[in-house]
Amino acid sequence: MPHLALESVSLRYDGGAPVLSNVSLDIASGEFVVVVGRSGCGKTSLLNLAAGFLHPTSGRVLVDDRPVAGPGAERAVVFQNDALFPWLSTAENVAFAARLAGASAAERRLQADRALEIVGLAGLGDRPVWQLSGGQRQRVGLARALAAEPDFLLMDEPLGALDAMTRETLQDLLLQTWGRNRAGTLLITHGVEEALYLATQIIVMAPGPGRIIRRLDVDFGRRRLAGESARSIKASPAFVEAREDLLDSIFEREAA
Amino acid sequence: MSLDLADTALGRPRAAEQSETEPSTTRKRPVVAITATLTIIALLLAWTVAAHFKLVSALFLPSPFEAGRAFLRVASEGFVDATLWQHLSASLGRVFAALVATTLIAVPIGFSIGASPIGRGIFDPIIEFLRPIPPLAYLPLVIIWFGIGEPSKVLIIGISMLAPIVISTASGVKGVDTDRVNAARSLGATRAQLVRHVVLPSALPSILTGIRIALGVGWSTLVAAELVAASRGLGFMIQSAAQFLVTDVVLMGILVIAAVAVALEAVLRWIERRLVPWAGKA
Ligand SMILES: Nc1ncnc2c1ncn2[C@@H]1O[C@H](COP(=O)(O)OP(=O)(O)OP(=O)(O)O)[C@@H](O)[C@H]1O
Ligand SMILES: [Mg+2]
Repeated sequence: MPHLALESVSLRYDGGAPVLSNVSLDIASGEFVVVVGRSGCGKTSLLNLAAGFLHPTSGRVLVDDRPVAGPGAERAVVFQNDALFPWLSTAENVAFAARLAGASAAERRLQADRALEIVGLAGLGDRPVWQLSGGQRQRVGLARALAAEPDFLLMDEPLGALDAMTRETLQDLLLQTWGRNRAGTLLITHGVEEALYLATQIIVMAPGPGRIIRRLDVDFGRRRLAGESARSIKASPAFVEAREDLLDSIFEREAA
Repeated sequence: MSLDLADTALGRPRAAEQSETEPSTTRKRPVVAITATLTIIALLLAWTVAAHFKLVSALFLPSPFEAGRAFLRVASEGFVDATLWQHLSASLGRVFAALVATTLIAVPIGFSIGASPIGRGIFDPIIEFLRPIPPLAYLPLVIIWFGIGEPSKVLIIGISMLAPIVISTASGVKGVDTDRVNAARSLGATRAQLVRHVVLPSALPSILTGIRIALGVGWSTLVAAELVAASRGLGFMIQSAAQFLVTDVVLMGILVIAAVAVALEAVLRWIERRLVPWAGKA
């Protein structure tokens, strides 16, 4: 089973203070790991290490027990500011990996249409991406990642810039696609409710230097996939309690 | 923004361009257009009045009508052995030849400055050295080295175009969004594919801006270039007319040069809108 691991990873940007210290993390297929923590605690750095955009100062990043040398198509990334290519149509954005691999226009189109369908954007393939709304663009970013059929999906606050309603819709979309393809997922978020709602495992980080202070397993996402309504999950005592508990973890250290 | 950078690098801040990039000024545009039209009408009137009442000798300041007549005359009969159209196409030919050659050289140089410290180390000093030299200063040297043929004229124009394109290209390449590069890398892009599929299209708006500015600069270098033993060209036409004190042709030539510059600018802007409609929107 595909398996992404960070082993005792530390990171400092050339010469600066350590940004991550001794971070270990493990994501297998079918897991949805959500990282929360205060601003500047190194969440993005962590994701960039997992993606292979950065190299650890010490420790190792492994995919299936092999050290990663850089980014790879088995780890697709969804960016906070979408990072789409405005010179390409929506469909060509989605099929970008296929384009790089030399797929024909017809193949690319087929693949793009399928992925766009999944994210609820069927029929928008010919639109220039710069004419899409923020929420639509995030969906395209997700479709682009999904179309590459990755083993792992790495997302850095993909819903951070969206309004509350769009965010909730897309949370369900993330949950459904994960439920279907079971890609090992790493999601970074500021939203405590979002973390609880989506995760199978939540990782709480603290700054100075960035480190993991808590891991907890949750199953609200599975309940949602099993058919329970978002409303009843978020109103349930267990959810409310977990939320307060998580907020305490995140902010406790600041008060101290 | 790259556009501003390229412009200031040339030391030619362009008020019109800057206001165009600010959305808040869209409402002001009609006001600008009306004021501009009125200014032009006022200048034409002043010119007509000055010529009509002989405030300046007709030898030095022919009326707008005489300039218009000169236009028709040179367009049909020609001046110094060539019609206006032939002068114009000779000039345009030189400027476009220079543009094509310079673009082919300047874009790769801009890429290497933008993408690698070594490239920057090699080319930055050269560009910084060439940039401030006025064409009239290197004109004699170009003649000594390359003679008085057509290549020298193209070269003089080309040199003046080099810096704007290099600088805009470099700033476009430097400005490539890191997330986009990372996105492509994580989707399996090789280095060559990154350049082809991400860096080049990202830098394209900036490159086009550089080309547009270069075209303006090159066009204004024209007269200097045609000082070199030309037998055709708008610059040559003006100089010949000046020698014989045919002031109406001189004035007409200046107006034609200005009109062509405006037209070129408009065409390039149209091309930019067609080719990079996303510029500034994503
Ligand atoms: N390229 C860089 N060079 C030097 N320091 C950096 C760099 N990127 C981030 N840092 C520093 O590393 C620390 C962690 O940054 P990081 O972006 O990983 O935090 P984050 O948890 O993602 O924050 P946020 O929630 O605000 O996005 C910060 O102190 C930041 O200043
Ligand atoms: Mg971050």
